[in-house]
Amino acid sequence: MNPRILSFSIPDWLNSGGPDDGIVISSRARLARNLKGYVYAHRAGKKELGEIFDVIVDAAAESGLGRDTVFRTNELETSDRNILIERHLISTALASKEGARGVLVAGSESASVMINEEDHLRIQAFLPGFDPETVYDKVRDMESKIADEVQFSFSKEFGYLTACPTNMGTGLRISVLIHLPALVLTKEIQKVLRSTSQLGFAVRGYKGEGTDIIGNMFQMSNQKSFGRTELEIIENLKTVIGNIIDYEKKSIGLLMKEASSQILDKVWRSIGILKTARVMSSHELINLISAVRLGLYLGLIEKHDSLMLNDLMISTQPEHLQAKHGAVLDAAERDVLRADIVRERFVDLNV
Amino acid sequence: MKCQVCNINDAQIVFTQIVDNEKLVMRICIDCAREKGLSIEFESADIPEKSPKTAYDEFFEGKLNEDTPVHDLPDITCLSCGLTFRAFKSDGLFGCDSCHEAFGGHVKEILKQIHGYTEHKSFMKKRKSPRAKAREDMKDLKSSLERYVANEEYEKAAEIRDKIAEIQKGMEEK
Repeated sequence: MNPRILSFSIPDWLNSGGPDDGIVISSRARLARNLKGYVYAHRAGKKELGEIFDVIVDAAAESGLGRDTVFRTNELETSDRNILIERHLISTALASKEGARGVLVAGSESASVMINEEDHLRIQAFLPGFDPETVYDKVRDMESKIADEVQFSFSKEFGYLTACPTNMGTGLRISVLIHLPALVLTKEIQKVLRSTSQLGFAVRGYKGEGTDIIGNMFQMSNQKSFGRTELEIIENLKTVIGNIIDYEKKSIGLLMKEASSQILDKVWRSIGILKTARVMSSHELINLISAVRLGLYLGLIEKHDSLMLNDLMISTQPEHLQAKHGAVLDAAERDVLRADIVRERFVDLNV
Repeated sequence: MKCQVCNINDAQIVFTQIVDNEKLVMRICIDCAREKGLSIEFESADIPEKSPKTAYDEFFEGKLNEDTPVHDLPDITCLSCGLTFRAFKSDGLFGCDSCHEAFGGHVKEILKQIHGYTEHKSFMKKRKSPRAKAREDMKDLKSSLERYVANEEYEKAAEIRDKIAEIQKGMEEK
């Protein structure tokens, strides 16, 4: 199957309707695992990588996860790999390496297994809104099914063995994508970022590791996977993110008390631009979407439109635009096509 | 916090202005802001582009190694995959699932630096899939069946036999 086909559908996990999704856009859980008896992916030769790949795909099939959709990234064109990256199904690290590597995509993209990235398996699940427990259950369930068919590297002393010591123990990374415009506006965000760092959380831009923070969106995840149970990691995340959500809500309240006309003006102006612009960079779009999201939270716009916002973030990325157009586009052409798509999507939004 | 300008109203909004190439950060109330012709910007300006670095990040970037001169690093090699401790310290990655054993106590030190702990802790039991559970149950039932037959408790044996048939049927349907 060609990844291009994916570009025409909306992944499950972007669907709005999850708990508290005014502020937390999505929750993600990832488990890192390696097969016993094989060297880690970065040291494996071509033949061994191929063996590992086949073992994992077979195990997934046996366990009922199906061969659904398996993409061998080393056999794909660059443009197809980019689609997978833009849909957060593979990392750029995985895309750039040779040898049998790829991703198995299950259930309308709400779950996937990256094969031969830094570890043999990176099992991940996504859910809309703020629900770290359910998303953990989901990923653990997938892991259990595969575990029945293979043997994972594990030691009593160090837990699940991973290539990087930062992932040892539980192999769990749990994260949320959270939108905090009010904390940014009131400049309280600096305080939040300092304390999340002290509390053991990594904060990244919404595109992940090494990317800038834009659009008032933050990816927050646990840094430590070892020496604590999965439950402890989840509880800690729930507490810390819960506090941040409350803080954001209070800040929104304050802003509306002190500067409601300015806030409303910002929201409606943004919608105005989205409904009329002829040229739009992705950077501008992300910032405008932030204003609209706030408008949604304030009840200015109807709830069902948050799915549209979430989908816009994915489908207006460069490779997606080119897939839609059917040919390569330069940056200027992409900005025009992006504006066209945006206008189309906002046509039904009532002012 | 009170507005920096009028000192009367509460100021929840912070404005940044570039004046003569210098950035001015002001906490002002909405009235003063309007008077000065300032408006709020929605862009995430002024937040650190990347989160502050921690020991975790620094390990990942190999920085924790900078202080140790190369000749002081223990000369250990993992016999399974050939990775040397030196290479591990510079790349930050193990080579295989025997490396951590080969590198011994040094691994615990590193885990302490990154995670703050040296002991693995996991109370979440791996949940067995229904199929695996069924297989386990089958094993138990089969040995019970043997026992009952050996003891000539045929009624009980028959019950077990029916249970086994049920489970087998269930497994086939999956």
